[in-house]
Amino acid sequence: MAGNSWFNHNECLQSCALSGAAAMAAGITDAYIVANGPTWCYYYAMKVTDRPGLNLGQRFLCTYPSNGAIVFGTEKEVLHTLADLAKMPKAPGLVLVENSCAFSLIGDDLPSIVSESDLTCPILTMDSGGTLGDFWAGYRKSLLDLLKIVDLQNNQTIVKDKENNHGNDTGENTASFSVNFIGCSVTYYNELDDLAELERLLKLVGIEVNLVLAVDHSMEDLKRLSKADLNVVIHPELGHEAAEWLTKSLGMSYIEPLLPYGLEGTLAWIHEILAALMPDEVPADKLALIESLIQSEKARQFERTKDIQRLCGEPWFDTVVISAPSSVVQGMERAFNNEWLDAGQFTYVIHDDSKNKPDYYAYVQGHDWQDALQIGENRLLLGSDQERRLCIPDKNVVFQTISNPVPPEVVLSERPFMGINGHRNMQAIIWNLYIQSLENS
Amino acid sequence: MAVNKRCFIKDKVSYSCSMPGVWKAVAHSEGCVVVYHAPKACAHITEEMERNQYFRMLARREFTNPPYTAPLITSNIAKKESIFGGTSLLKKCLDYVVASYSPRYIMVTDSCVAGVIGDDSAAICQEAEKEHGIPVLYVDCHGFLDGEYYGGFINAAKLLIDRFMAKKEAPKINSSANAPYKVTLIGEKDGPGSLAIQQFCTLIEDFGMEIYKSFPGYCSIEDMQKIGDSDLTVILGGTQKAYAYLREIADYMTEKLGVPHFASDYPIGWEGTKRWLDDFSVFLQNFKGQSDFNGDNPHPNIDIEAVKANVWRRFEEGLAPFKKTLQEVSIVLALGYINPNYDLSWVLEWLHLGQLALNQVVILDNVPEAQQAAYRTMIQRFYPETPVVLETAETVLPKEALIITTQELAEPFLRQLILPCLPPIGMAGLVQMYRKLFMLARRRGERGIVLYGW
Repeated sequence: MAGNSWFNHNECLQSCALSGAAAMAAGITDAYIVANGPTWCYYYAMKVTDRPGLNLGQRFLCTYPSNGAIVFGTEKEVLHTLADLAKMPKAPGLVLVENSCAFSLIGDDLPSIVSESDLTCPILTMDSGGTLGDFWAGYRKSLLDLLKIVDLQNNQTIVKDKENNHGNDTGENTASFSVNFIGCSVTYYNELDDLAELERLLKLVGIEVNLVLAVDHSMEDLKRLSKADLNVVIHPELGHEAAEWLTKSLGMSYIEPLLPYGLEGTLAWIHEILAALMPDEVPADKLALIESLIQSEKARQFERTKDIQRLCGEPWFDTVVISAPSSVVQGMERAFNNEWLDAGQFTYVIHDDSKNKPDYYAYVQGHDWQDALQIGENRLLLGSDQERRLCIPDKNVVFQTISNPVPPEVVLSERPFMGINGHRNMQAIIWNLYIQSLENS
Repeated sequence: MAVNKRCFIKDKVSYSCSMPGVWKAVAHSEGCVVVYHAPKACAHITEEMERNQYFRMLARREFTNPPYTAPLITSNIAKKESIFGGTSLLKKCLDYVVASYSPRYIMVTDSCVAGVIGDDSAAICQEAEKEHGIPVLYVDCHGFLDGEYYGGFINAAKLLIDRFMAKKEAPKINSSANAPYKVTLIGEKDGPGSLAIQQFCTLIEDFGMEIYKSFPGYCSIEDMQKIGDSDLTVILGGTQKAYAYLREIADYMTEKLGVPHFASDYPIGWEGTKRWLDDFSVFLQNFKGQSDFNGDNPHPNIDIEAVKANVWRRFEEGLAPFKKTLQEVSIVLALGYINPNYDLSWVLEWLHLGQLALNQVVILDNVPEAQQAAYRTMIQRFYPETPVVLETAETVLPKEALIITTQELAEPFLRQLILPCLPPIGMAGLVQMYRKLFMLARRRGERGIVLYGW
């Protein structure tokens, strides 16, 4: 495995903190984002962040500084853009003003500049761009900074009340619990479909999702964050620091279970949440309900695949490469090993810098993983368009998108990869790719 | 605002980045490695640009795998370098590049971050060149601080000329009296496999000539060493700005190599094509006097009227399958703010040449007054009877019409053709646009569509 820090960007791609911070704010419906940097930095951050339904064409702005601004500063441009926002019929709930790397370096005092604007909403400022770090660093920093400016303390009494409300006079556990999802991003591949599936599953066991932090809520909604009984970190590479901060500041406990890919993974995920909420006794009836659904799903799958199994045999790949953000890879690793697929060799590639297992390949520290994809006659690649493009000429490689950047594709139906429905979808995908691979070989 | 536009873009100059321009200049030059002295995410802009082009070409079935794609490395400047300087990091990065890729040459350029820090990258490149014994060329641009995209492209091209090209010492004489002139293209439009380039080559072939090299994007060192043998160069720009920049390369080649260039951008529309053909014909007739070419003129008797007739015939043949359908549809032109460098006259001429009905022109509410006046003058020339209205709160674009627009409109039930950023090349380009409009016309029912004209 290569250990240097340089790499060919035609083969690996990491966007910068500018887009990561924008991706965080993009999930807050009344937040506006102002990139204080070159037009092309703005366009590319927009491209990384924009997703259907986010309306970022209207919410993500640029100050369009000239190259002379590097000498004279950007005060005029920033205030001009904020003045445009102040004139809008409906006031923004939040404005994030982020400096690109060049403007971070010239020492423009953003907090002082924005304090002169007529906007009455909170304004979050940060030096972002490539010198701060990558997409994930930008997301983490902006989320943490956001939490620090929101008055979450007002709901402390609610938290205390809630603690007293989870039992009746006989000591029975009757009331429902609620959790927050921390570390989610509207820009992650399949995120909204996955989150919907997780909410559905938790509802089945009597747990409400109070807030999915930085996904489809307003700034006002953010105030209810502290009402939840537990924070569940979805993607630690995005949300670990925020969860830590909420523990220290508000006393909210959190867990970071492996993502619920596969049926066993789903059961383990729900069990871990129930155990965190009810440490004395995990309710057996609720787990039994999930186990029963899992058994039904297994029976359904067996029934629906046996004909094709007789014809084509069980899915098999000589080599499987899985390339995605670390939380996705870790969750999928368990599902692949235990449930999803038999294969000669699995190789895991992590997009972010949190290389949390020694046998994982760090995306930006070499491309030896490509060698793994040369082994065998039928090979499966689950990753982003970046990896896909490297393997296009190879007819023996079949591909499924599981991470960004996404190749041109259309997904019109809800299609989670997590949870019970996610397991169903992934099994269908793996089967069909296997059949396709038979024809290719 | 009645018409919902996809996003609003301020009417300001686009301060682009010079680094992707440097990359583009040598992206497919065999044996080259490009190094940005920059944070690692700066390469993302280049990659996004490449990805978009790749899929655009796939969709047009024009993609051909380039013979070589230069690795793109960033020195990975971070916070520490912004305080203590990044030259030692750049040096180590260049050592890594040499050890890992064994390049034939390296092209280095700076980001705006390196520019602000003030790293002396030129000195590092000289040092690396001495140490490793391969050319390490430094393009003196700094991201968006100076030069823009074309600044990077031009400066990289000039460096290549300086380093790899030599003036042909002996006077150029065609060895065979009938051998055609060697024409080198300057600039590119989506690579050599693109329809636009092929169409342009067809025009050159109409004069009995052929394209010799395409500079700078697809030239190996060997190719560059032969460019001095070119008889002339032609420019592929598309806008006044692009042409002006590319002409700098052509002028530089003339100065350094003695290779003259035909001083005109590619032809746009019928009037533009006729003008281009006439000018090119005159240029060729006078060619002997304009260069150090001492041989006999291999193209002495060009029947320019026959060439024009040939171009027009191809145009009519191309239009014929779409003509009847298009002449029966209602067309509305929605004109938003565009870069002042971009002349939209070709759109009106294109509709007029096809004898298509332009039912209405809507000037969108983001168009400044000066541009509104220019639009009205342009429309008056080709369609004096067509009503021109300014967008108001009540403006509704008709679902039944074909909407030709400068910017995407966020209306799901409209049939929209988005005008291309660069005008199509010659008459064949216009035929492609008719084909797109025909596809729009064949959209049945009330299903909206956004069709891009590039």
